[in-house]
Amino acid sequence: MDEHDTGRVARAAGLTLYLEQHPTELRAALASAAALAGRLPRDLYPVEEPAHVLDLARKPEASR
Amino acid sequence: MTTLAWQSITELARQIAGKKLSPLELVDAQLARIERLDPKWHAFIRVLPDRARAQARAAEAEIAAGRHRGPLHGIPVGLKDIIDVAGVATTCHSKIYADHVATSSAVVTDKLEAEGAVVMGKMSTHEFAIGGPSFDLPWPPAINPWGGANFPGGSSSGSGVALATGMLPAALGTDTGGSVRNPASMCGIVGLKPTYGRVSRRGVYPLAFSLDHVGPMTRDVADNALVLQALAGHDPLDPGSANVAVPDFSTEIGRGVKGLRIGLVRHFYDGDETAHPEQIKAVDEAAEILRRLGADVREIQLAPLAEYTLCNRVILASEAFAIHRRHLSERPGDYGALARQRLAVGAGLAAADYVDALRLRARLIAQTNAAMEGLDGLLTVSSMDPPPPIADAAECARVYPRQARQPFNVTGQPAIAIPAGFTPDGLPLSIQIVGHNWQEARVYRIAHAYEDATGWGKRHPPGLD
Repeated sequence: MDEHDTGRVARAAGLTLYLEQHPTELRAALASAAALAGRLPRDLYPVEEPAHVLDLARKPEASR
Repeated sequence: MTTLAWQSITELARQIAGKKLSPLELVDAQLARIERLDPKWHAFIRVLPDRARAQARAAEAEIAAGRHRGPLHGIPVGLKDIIDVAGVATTCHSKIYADHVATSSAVVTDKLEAEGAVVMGKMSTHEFAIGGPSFDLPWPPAINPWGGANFPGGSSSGSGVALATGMLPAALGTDTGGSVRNPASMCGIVGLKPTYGRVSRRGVYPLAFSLDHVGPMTRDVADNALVLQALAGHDPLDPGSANVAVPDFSTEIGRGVKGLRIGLVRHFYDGDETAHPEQIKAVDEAAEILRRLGADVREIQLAPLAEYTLCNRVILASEAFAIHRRHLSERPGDYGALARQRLAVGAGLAAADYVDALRLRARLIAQTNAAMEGLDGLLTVSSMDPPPPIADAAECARVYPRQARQPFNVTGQPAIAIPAGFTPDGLPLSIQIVGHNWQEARVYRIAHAYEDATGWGKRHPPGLD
């Protein structure tokens, strides 16, 4: 991500003061974000829905 | 008789109930120990001696009048300093919230106090519970007594250190990517992340809504179950709280593991990652011990550790940035460098990245449930490494992400970290036991059987009486 892109993301996210005061940290954070995003799976089918947090828990099975 | 500082809740409660130990005597002894030790180990952000003594006196009067509330009555506890206590600052270990006084108590605080527990103070954390250790904050980081001056893990670091130094018999932590289980592993104590939705988070400063859990930290498994008993229950005002029955979490303790089926997730620590050789040995030996105790321990395959980690990190970064966006925008200089950088990661993620991480989460939950079909629990590593020196920033940064706790924040399953021996240098090792959702009692059963067979948790750091 070049300086132009960093500035664009910072403005969009409301982080212009952050960019002024801590440019190296913001660049590192955005580089980390890009790396994470780049590793997300590309094979998710359209019908695969998000996990709804309130439904995460299964009913307990019968205990021994 | 063991000094009061190292006694379990069970032992202390028996003496309090029998009127052989007064809550005030216990609280005074613990306050004296905190005054003597905490200047070195920094477990506390704030000690609350007047409040604690008033609660202890009230407990003493009630018990004298024949109104004993239960095993936590008169027992000292500490709260990670992102958990509210009415009238006391919840600093989140940050300049941003240094003067932020809570107007009401968190549900978990109220629940502990309803059982008669005595709140001794607010415990050190990593700033806003995200990463550490940091040396550029208004308070120093907690230091691990094992090894002299090591990293205690985090982010519930003060809670872990207070238990390892005998300053408290119980404390609460929070766990979004492993922050109860990490200090438990590094400090040689017991830490449980309950099932998502089991314990209310209302009045606890959030890190990532869909991954946050509050959990008990103690020195043994039976104590942990006692504290969870006080915390658990539906809270209709916490959107993540589940309306499920609360069982007796101690009911399976002591029943042993004969006939239980346990999946060993070996590829997490010897394949996907390569743990420290002593840590690999500790988990493999734990599998053998559980087999000798009668469990059917078989190796199983889950999704690669990196997939769970990625899922946890994208969700955590996105939700945490939403929470911190205003402060990062207006007061970036008031954060420490580490939290400031980690909290800004979410600024670089797209909405679709967050949604895809939630979709990946659904896939991982389904795969994990399928792999656990017919099993009573899982055994795997918690931390890949023993605690590094806290002054070695590079080694702390290397070790911090090397862990297998995030999978169970993603799935929401209960998971406990317990002591599993020591390196030749005397540094704590640990294992992690994981259960099906809502089956904390089964997790405690397996953990207790191992604990009882090994006795690792009975050791204390050298030099601390």
